Parts: sequence; structure tokens; C-alpha cells
Amino acid sequence: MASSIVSEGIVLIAVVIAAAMLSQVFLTTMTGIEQSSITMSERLGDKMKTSVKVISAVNSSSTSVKVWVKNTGTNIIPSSVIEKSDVLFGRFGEYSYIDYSELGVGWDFALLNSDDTNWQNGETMEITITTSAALATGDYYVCFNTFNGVSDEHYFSIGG
Amino acid sequence: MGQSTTVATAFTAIMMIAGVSILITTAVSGFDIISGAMTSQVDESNVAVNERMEFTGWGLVDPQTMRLNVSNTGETSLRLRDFDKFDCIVTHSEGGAPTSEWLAFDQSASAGDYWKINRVFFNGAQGDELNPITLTPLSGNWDPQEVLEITVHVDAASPSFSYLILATVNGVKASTGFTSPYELGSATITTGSTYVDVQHSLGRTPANVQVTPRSDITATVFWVSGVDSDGFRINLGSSLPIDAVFYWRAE
Repeated sequence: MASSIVSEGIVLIAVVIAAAMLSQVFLTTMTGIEQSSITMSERLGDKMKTSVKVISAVNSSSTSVKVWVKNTGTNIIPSSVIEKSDVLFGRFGEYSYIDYSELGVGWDFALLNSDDTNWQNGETMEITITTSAALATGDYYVCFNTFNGVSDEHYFSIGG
Repeated sequence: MGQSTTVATAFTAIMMIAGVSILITTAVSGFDIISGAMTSQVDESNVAVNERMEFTGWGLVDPQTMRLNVSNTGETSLRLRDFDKFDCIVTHSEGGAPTSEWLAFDQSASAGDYWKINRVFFNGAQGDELNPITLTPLSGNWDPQEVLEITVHVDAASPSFSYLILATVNGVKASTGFTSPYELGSATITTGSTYVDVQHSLGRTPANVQVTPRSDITATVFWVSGVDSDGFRINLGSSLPIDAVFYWRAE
């Protein structure tokens, strides 16, 4: 009888330890999934709140183009994040990735109707794309892609 | 053995309940974030879909200043205090070189590059009744069916306006060109003179100029010369003893 109680106790302790270990592993995994899921939802929400619209684009000189892009979403984008956007530009069907550059060849931006350094809803940004070669007459394509993959594109032409 | 089975079952049940509650919490917070973003997106789409405007007229006040009428043809009221978030992009040429520039909305401006509101019309009469507009200080709404008269000023020496884009806070655009298809009038070469200079306001060199004499001038010939973006000259081969009136049409 006594040996039965002892063996019952040993089994009980073993079961408790095993269940505790399993619980810890399970809960840790679930917490990881929870965090990933929340992060994913937040990113998706951010993306849905981000919206941009290219208002117009024209060539301002033989080697530069001005593009006006409006923030039509509710996401507030700081200037430091705008620099992480992607700009694709070039002749129709021959566009390429343009590097961000505050000086010389590349793209740069200025917030036009903003009181601070954040790009907020309704505010417009003037992008200047400077090319190394003179822009020839023809059809052109420009695409502005935000840091989180929201984009708008615009087709325009440059006359002779 | 019975007690250990009970304990193991209890642990498993607690574990399952905790896991399920974590899953539910995660799903709910995820849905909450996404539904908030979706609501915001739908609201913006609704506004953008119902927002429309249309240019209904324009005229030059002076070589640097233009007045335009723009009508709210949509179903939304646009707050004047948001007008500083509107875009006004004007294209003009100076010495033949086209330039496009973004103009800031500045209701108090009288110099530099700017655009501002002059007055509002409703049903053809000046003024509005719904959300009345006050220009100083700026308040009120640009409501459906109301027409705004706006002033666009470019501080260039002699800009020849050609195109304008106006965009709302939501990026809804309206645009207009400033090229008249044609212009017509009459001009008189006075007795003893052999020419008259005619001015037009097409803002470009006309592709065609037609001139018709109102009376019999078969005694001499007539022709047109010096056609440019400002005007042209009607010439006579020799002066006439009467005033020679010509109808003209430049296009």
C-alpha cells in the first residue's frame, strides 16, 4: 500500500513537471504568434491608411522633371521616411530606379504646404528628378512608391 | 494513477484555454486595427467619389493676373480653411519657354506668386447662404453648386498662361486650358493711311487670319503681315479716299 502511494506520488510529480514544461513551450509559441499577428495587422493597417496621388509632372529644364505628389491618406510620413521611398522614372517602357540624392543626379523633394517636416494628409510634395542626360522628346513614366509599398504612377510627355 | 490523470487533464485544459484566449485576443486586436484602417479608407474614397469641380470661365485681369470661375459640381462641401492644402499648378510661357509652377494659396497676398479667392456666387448672384464664406478671416465652406471666382497671379515679366490644374485635399483635380479657339473683330484703315495694326488676345500666333473688306476696295489690293502672338497688320496697296473697314477673324 505504502509503495503504491510512493509510486503514485512519483508519477504525479512527473506529470506535473511534464505538463508545466509543455505549457511553457505552448504559451511561448502562442505569444510569438500573437506578436507576429499584431505586427502584421499594424503594417497592413498602416498600408491601408497610406495613399498618395501624383497630381502632375512636367519637365522644368532639359535635365530635370518636377512631380507633384499629394498625401491623400491619413498616414503621417516623416521626411526621413520619405527619403526611403522609391522613384521610378524614364521614357515609356524604359524607366529605371532613381536614387535619392539631395544634390546632382537623382531625386529630391520639398514639402510645399507643410508647417513641419512631416508629410501629412492633404499636403503636397514637389519631387525634382535630375537626370544626367538631356531629356528627349517623347512619352515618360514616373512612379512614386512609399516606404510601405503604396504607389501611384503618372504618364506625361515632353515636347520638342 | 487517478490523481495524476486528473492533474494532467487540468493542466492540459488550462493550457488550451490560455492558448485559445491568446488567439482570440490576437484576432480581435488585428481585426480592430484593420477595420479602423478600412473605415478610414472607405471614408476617403466616399469623399473623393463625391468631390468634383469644374472650371466655367476665365479672363485676364492684367498680363500677370488671371481670374477663373470654378464651380463645385460635386456633392461635398469643401472647407475654406483647408484651401492651403489645395494645389494650384499653373503653366505659362515666358519668351516661348513653358514653365509650370505650384502656387501657394494665400488669401492676404498681393505680390509674388499666389492664388486666392475673390468672391463666391450662388445661382448667378454674388454671395452664398449655406455655410457662408468670409474671406477675412477665412471661414465657411465651398458648397455644392457654388461658384468661386479665384485670382491666380504669377510674378513673371510677361507670362502667357496656357494651363491650370486645381486639386483638392483629396487629390480630386480639375483643369483648364487658356487657349481661345478664335477671336474676331473689325478694324479700320483711315482715309489716306495704308495699314492698321490689330491686337488680339489669343496668347499665341494664330494659325489662320481671315480679313474681309466691308466695302468695295477693288481699286487696290490688301494683305496681312506681321502675324504674331500679339497681333497682325492689315495693309493696303495704296491709300483710299474713304475709311476702309475690315472684318477679321484670327484662329
